[in-house]
Amino acid sequence: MARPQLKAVPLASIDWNDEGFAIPGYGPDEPLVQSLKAVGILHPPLLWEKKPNRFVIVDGFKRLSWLRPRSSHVDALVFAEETEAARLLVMRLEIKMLSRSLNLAEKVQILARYAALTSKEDLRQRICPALGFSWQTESLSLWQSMATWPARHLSALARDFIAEKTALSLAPLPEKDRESFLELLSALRCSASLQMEILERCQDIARRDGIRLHALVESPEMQAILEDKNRNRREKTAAVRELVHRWRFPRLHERMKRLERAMAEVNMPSALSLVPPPHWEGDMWELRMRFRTPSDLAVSLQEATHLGMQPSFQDVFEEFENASAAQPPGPRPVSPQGAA
Amino acid sequence: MMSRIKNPIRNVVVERAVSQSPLVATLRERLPGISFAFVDTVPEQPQKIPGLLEVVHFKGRFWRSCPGTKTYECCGYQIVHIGTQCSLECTYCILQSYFQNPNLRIFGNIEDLMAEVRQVPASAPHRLFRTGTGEFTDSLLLDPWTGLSRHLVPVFARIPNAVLELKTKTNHVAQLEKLDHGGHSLVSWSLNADEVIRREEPRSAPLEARLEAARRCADWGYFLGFHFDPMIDYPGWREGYRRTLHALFNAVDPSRVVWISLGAFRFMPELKGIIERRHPKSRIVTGEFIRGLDGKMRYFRDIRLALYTEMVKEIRAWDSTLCVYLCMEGPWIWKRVFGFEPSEKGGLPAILDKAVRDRMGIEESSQGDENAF
Repeated sequence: MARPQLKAVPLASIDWNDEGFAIPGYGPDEPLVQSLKAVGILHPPLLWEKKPNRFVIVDGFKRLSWLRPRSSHVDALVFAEETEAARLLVMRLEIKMLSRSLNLAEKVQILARYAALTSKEDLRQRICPALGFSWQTESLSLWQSMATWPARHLSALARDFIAEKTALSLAPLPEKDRESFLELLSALRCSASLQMEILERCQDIARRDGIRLHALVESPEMQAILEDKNRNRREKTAAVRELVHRWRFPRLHERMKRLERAMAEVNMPSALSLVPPPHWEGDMWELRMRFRTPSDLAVSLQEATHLGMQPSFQDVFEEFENASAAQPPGPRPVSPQGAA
Repeated sequence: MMSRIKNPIRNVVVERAVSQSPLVATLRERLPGISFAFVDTVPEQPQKIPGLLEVVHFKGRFWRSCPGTKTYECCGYQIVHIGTQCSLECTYCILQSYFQNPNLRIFGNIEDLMAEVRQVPASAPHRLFRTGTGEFTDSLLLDPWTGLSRHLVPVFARIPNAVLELKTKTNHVAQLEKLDHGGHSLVSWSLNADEVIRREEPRSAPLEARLEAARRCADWGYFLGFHFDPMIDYPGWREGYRRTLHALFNAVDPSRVVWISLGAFRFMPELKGIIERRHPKSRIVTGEFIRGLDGKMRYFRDIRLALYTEMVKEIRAWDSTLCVYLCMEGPWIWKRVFGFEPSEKGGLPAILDKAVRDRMGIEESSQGDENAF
């Protein structure tokens, strides 16, 4: 491939509508804008003289867009007309892939476009590791499929609100279901593990009740949480988790609430805390004790002895045991549009 | 009554080391139209090949203890390992994730297998061995074609301190009729509510076919066992399981039943995705599960208690002396269901040994018959 020549190119000669080499970031690049304001263009953009005196942008879309209202010319590295478009695209992808940390939307686009240019082996051995993707065949096709998502979906990925694992789980979903979860999770901006918890539980509910995922997000209860102006994102996340837990585990949820109420009735000394068997499994309770000195410990031990005599303390165990004897009803759909 | 199960074998690949095995000879005799290929080593297949039966030379231990856990009560069962995998494709089956090899596989070197069967119980004549072949495959799925029961059942008949359990979801019992079982074999069925059988076990024998097979086995003098495992929590489970129990006790005399086990559905977490992918219509993984103390997903305790207490109440109404036990459950569940923990009665193995003594009349204290082999 012939080396590019540094030339002063009139901006009016650039075909601004040709985005053949574009890999949109779907998000503002504030650090770049600040840098351009401060020092201007440091690295010449790459242009391809596709036809005599008509230029196509290969690399430098943002820099040129910034420059357009400010100048009439740009110093650019120009590839000659006879240069192969595919070679230019490879160059563009390599620059993009290695130049800075990419957002997820950019990564999936690079992967998808490279898939048409190189071998599967190269994708697995070089491109995927460079992009930080797992290379299993199944996930590879899912990652690639994300590049075809609508711009508003890619935009959610670009803002880094959606964890990679979550995005991978959303990839095979119907568009409407995916959209509803992208909106929900973008609003919550919770951790990757909480995103997966909410999504997996909702998938189980939908499967159990024979409903679509988006119906859960669009339910009045979920929407009320999301629209509540008195809750911050963390509080909304907690409320959504609570709601989804109630839908997913209706009987367990009810039992946990009843036990919580019984435990709240106990006049628990501040240095002690009572921990029931995890998930109601087993019969091993824990009484945790905090102390600084041996005399603190002696006091706490005495308090623990008295605690055991409290009727409200006995009630906790009665609640735990007696409710177990109750015959719980069979699982019923409790989600908003649950069908039998 | 016709079974829904047809011959699952379409072709057979045999390792040369076992090409002269009587088991292979029986297969060739009973599968005249099926192609047999002979290879040095059967390759591990990453994907299931429908209808393929692999006959391999097994180099491991045929006789082994059933893997249990510390936190849940283990019954001390012994496994006679005859092969792996199953073609019944029950949605919940652990075999989907348990073995790397997905194809039906049996062990051709049955002389080695029989040698272990003779040797292990003889080495501990004062211990009673409750053994079965249905842990890693269905005991009778391939039996009409392998004839394995023809070797195992008469040998167990002459082992004074062991019983053999053939556990199945099929009605492949015709070959058992003329065997000399000596009262040392019990044939057992995994049972479920009819709705669960139709939804989750669609390629196994229907309930009525299993019970008809059980009745025939009882007529031939075999003892019986039944396993309600996995029990599934679904709307209408009470009535569903009650109907199955009624059908069971209308079909067989309870006095021929050595034990009934109950086990609520539980699974390793990694099985969930496999079930969702392979059986997209099944909803069994959407139950109210918690992670148990052994890492498996289990219904939370209220649901398990409800399933078990209802079943025990029903079974007791039919036969108050019948041995009912819980498979892989904690003592806290036993206490609530039965009013005692296994340890109060010497442990679960002792409870089941007693059932063998009481119902089958077999005593572990008998000395081995040195001439039996």
